[in-house]
Amino acid sequence: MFSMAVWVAGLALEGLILVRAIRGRFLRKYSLFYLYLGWVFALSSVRLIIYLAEPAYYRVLYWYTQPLSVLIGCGLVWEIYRQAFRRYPGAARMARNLLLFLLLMLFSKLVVNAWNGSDWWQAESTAGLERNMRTVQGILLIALILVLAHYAIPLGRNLKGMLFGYGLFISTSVIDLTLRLLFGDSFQKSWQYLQPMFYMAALTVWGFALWSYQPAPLPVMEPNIEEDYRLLATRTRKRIFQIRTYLTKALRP
Amino acid sequence: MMEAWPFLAIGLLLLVLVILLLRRPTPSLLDSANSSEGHETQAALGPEPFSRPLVDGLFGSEDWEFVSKEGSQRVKRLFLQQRTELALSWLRASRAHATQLLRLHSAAVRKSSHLEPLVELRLIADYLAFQMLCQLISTVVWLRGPVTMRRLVRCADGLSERFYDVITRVLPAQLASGSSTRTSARPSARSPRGG
Repeated sequence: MFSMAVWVAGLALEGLILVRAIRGRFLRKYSLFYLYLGWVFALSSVRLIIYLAEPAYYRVLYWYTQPLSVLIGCGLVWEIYRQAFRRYPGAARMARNLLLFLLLMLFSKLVVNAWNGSDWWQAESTAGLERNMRTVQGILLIALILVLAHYAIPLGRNLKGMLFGYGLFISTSVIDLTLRLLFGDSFQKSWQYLQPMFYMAALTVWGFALWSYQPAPLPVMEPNIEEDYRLLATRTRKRIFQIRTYLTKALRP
Repeated sequence: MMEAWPFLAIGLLLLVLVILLLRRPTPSLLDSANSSEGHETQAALGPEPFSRPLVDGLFGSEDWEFVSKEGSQRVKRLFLQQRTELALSWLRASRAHATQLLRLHSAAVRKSSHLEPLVELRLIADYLAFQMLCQLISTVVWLRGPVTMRRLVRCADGLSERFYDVITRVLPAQLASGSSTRTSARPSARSPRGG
């Protein structure tokens, strides 16, 4: 009963967020995000119908369609990257290099696994596959957040909510799925409740953050940054040298 | 059980990061550059937290030589106690200043299409190493007094030199050319509004 209520509430929230975007005419501004949400909304509706009509097929349908959902979720990570770094080519270059490096590392691991004859994705079950795919997304999100924080990239309410909601969902999914794989059936009941609740939390965050269109603030004084940078770099050089000089002086008792 | 730990660690790390992200203030349309970056620039490019003659006096050997020659045990102890406090205070100020410099550097280069990721990574690594070593020095100074930090300070000196080298690599060519003689390192051109 509880899971059914969460399911229906989730569908209603997804629908509401989509309707708000259509009415506010900002659906195209975050096209990949709404593509993901639209996909989840359609899939959840189909799953609900199957669950009510033919419960025996539900489990099979869920595990066959879930990897595709996770794959489409990668589009959301790309959306966050695209929106956040649009006006910051330097920070975008750093993020791009970091993400490519991480993906290369992950790909190398897959190749090594395949070479050693083990399962290419090292997942014995579909839950394991989902956990691994969510973890990849989690690693990419961590890298994005670190670059955003380091370069102090300002995020608007929309983007902040998008990132917070998806980060919350991915992190709790990774933890939840890991515990489920670790403890097996004994954790199944908790998992059935926890997973939809975390998704509901993410949907609530998205609902508040994307109620209306509010993009990232524009950097007003950017033309002066280059001039400041030259002055700053010169002063930085002087200051670092001073730190070094003072530390050397501190050698003497 | 062991293979679950990396997944749990990644999940928890992401959870902590998104919570910290939520706590980060959202700048309004007008204040992003005006107040935040503008004030930081003013602060970093303004007067140094401790003037050079003052620090020279604090860390110079003249006072200690005088006290150890003329002063009583009580005076020596008081001198070392005060010197320890001042050394800790200066270390704190230096660390805060380095943080501010790195923030300004990041804010300045984030729009530059010429940004070099490897140079940036090296700068971050050197900054982190410098911060950790300053923390270590602070701990040793707090525990044993300023006299025992000789070797650590030498190490910090090497690290700050690396940090310095990286900074000069990202300078514009005409500024970098003047960096060979470090003792005469002075800003050659000042922005009218920069400070």
